[in-house]
Amino acid sequence: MSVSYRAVQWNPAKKAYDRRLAFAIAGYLAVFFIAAATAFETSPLILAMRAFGTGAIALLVFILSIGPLARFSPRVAPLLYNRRHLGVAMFLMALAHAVLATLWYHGFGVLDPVTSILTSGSPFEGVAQIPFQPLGLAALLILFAMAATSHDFWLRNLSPRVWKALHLGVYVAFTLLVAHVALGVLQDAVWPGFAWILAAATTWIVGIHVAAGVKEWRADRRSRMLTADGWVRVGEVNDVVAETAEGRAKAVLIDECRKVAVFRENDAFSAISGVCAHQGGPLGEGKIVDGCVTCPWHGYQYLASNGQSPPPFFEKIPTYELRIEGRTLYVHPQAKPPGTPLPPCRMELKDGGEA
Amino acid sequence: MSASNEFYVGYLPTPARQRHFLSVFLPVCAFLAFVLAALAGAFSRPTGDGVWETGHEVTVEGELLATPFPMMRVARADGTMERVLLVEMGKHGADARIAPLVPTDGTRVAARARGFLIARGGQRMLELVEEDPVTLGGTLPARVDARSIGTVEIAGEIVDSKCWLGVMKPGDGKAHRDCATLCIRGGIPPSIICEAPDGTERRAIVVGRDGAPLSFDSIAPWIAAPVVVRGNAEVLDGMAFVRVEEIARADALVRSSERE
Ligand code: FES
Repeated sequence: MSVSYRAVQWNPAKKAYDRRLAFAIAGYLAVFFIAAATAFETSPLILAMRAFGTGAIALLVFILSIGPLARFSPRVAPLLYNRRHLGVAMFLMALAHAVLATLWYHGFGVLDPVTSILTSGSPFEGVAQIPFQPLGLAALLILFAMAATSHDFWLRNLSPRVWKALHLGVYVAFTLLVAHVALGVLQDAVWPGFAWILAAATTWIVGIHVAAGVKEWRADRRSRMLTADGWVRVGEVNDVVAETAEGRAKAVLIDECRKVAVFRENDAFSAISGVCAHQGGPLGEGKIVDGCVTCPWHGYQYLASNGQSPPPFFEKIPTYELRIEGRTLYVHPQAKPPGTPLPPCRMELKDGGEA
Repeated sequence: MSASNEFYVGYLPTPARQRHFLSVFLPVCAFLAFVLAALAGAFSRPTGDGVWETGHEVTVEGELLATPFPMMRVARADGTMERVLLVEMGKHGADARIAPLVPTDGTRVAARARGFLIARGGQRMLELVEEDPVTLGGTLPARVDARSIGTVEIAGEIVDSKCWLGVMKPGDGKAHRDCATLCIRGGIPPSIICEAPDGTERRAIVVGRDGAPLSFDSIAPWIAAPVVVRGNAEVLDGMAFVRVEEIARADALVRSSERE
């Protein structure tokens, strides 16, 4: 979390993660080179360009798959933890591809390389003339902005909202890259398999995002029920207890876009914002670990009773008032200022202690 | 709601179920990545069999020509003639260097040129060294062996000779288009390449109707696109030239190519 900024706060999980990442990238490049070298006479520079380019796109598809997959299975969650290292590695591969291509194709000539890239072709004279390099360059600039601001220092200084918006740029970059490949190297490809692989990857990415979105939308619709006096119904106490394991939460949508996480700890409920102060991770999918609500994405922690990170950390998120009326649990949609302590809402253990 | 209460926190040990899942999932992903790498590597476009003997300096001797592009007429061991194109380092033609050395009145000039060979399919090019690559003097070879082919129509692609002969690998196709454009803009001779009916590569240097180089602007829109070139072809010392009458987009047009 954010006591002080270090280049990267290493821990064993991150190191293991990065070791596997380095192994995968080195393996990819090696297999590519060996396969190409056995298939035809090679030009190492061109092969490096191709290996870095295809590798970066493959890694990008993997990165974009993690988020939606984690919505379907919490078992993918460990991959989310260090996702930005994947992003930085992917950017570096894309950069290597771009530097090689720019030097080799656009360097050593009568125009400077950037002019050569930006003045290439015209989009109005058939596919062969549509320039594809500027698309790649635009994607690279977006990926650069993301890699450069991936550290938590930027997250804090840009505010999570701006940071998140910036990092949604990855979808713009992905779209640009699909066009870059389709209008570029696919025009020369001798093996039709490349077009199929690109189409399959694009369909996969769009498909899992739509599926995850539909899942979330359904869950939100189910959770949303306003009562007359402005309180939002969380559910029958018995049902909420049955639905949530000890130390887990029920996520409740309180208006069009705000979510509240109602945590259960022993016989008490507490409600905090469902959005992590770090990168907006879903706290409703978090868990109380060592007495603190812990975010499923990178493990930021908050006390359920006041929405504050335990010292020495200083993140604060809004808290919400809860009330039990009859056998029904309600939450008030008016957020208390971040870090406001609220007493937990206890259920009366009437029916033989079963709530 | 949650079937399992296991929960991953990056700085705590990974719960067993997630660890087991990842111990299968990650190797599967890595395996898929390696399969993809193998396919992408093996099926990526072959880079052609051109060579570029950079670092290995050679000297060629013969008659120096400045038009339509700088080149040397060289006698082969068997007495036949060949033409070796001369270019500078990078994406630059050798016009500025060679033109002042060859009189325009038709006087023939013998010379030696030093540089690095670029070669593909029996066609050679010399990339001149930077310092004093050309010395005048030597014996003049036999007169030009010219053969006229007549009007031809070639369906193919316009490339720059230098990259295609062995510098770029591959030196054609859309990915290479901007590079070819830069080269031709810089004075490297443009060529049209096509595949002969027997599957072999063929190449002819593209010049204007009057035999002089085409202006860059007139050829730029046609570079690295499927085109049909119509014009008069001739073979000079074994090197094919097309004096272009007309260039058109090939699009769906498929015509037989008939040329040397
Ligand atoms: S989003 Fe990073 S810890 Fe919550």
